[in-house]
Amino acid sequence: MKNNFTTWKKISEDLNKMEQVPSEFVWFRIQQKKLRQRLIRISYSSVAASLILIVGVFLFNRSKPISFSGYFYVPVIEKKESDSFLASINFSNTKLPLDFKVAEGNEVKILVPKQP
Amino acid sequence: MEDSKLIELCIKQDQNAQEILYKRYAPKFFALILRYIPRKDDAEDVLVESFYKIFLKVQTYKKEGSFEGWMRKLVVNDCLMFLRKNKMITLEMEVIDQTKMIYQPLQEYELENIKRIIDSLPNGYKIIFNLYVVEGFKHKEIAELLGISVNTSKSQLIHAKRCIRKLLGLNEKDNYLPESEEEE
Repeated sequence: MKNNFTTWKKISEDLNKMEQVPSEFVWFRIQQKKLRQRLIRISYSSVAASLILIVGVFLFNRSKPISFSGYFYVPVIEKKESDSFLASINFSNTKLPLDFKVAEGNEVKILVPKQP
Repeated sequence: MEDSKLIELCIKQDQNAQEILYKRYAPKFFALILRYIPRKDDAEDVLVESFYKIFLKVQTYKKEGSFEGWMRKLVVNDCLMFLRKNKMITLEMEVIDQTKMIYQPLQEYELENIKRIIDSLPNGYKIIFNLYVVEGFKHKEIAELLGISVNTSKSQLIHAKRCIRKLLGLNEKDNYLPESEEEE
């Protein structure tokens, strides 16, 4: 035996040359895994896109008229005099949630004293 | 088809190229995995994981060293990950009782028998022997991979070699397959 024996290096080389064929299903399992991971990535992307959309819509909506009690209005405050402000509200609805009515698109201007 | 062409196509996620690459290297890597993980089902799981990673990370191969070497490192890492996850890395801190070992003196050089002897080693010895002697890792790299000290790696290797020598029926006077590292 000893004459035939060589070195650790020889053993290493021979072991490295060894081959063993895996079962034929391994290749299909790799394909399955690729597909599964792709689907997971797609679902993550969809969730991320939905979140971005929700945040985007929320931010976009903030610049729109604010909804209050089912009525939409755009408050505008402009300086009128040194001691008062002119506050105007554009109602998009036909009803004002107060005790009077106003037509859609009408503007109500109220003079608000600075120091009532 | 040459490896360089295969790499190019695999980067483009060409499935035919991936299949050629798989058929070329799967038998080698499966044999490699079986040296660390003897159960075939587990070894196939690791093979699936490794090839999936190879196809996914092929564009990160920087052409430093051989492509096969790059893939081998990835496969070995996956083997170690599997062993770690399943708590199968148990380093024998004490010298095992060699009198309890079954001696199989070989009449001639038979790789299958040597492989069987290596497989019969305690897990810690076997892992470090495979990493150092077969895969060519340095002790420092092994220490980092397994989270052990360089000295532990060295001592495990000496014990592994001593066991193999004993199991092959070599005595102290035989100069073949020495325990020390400065041998060949």
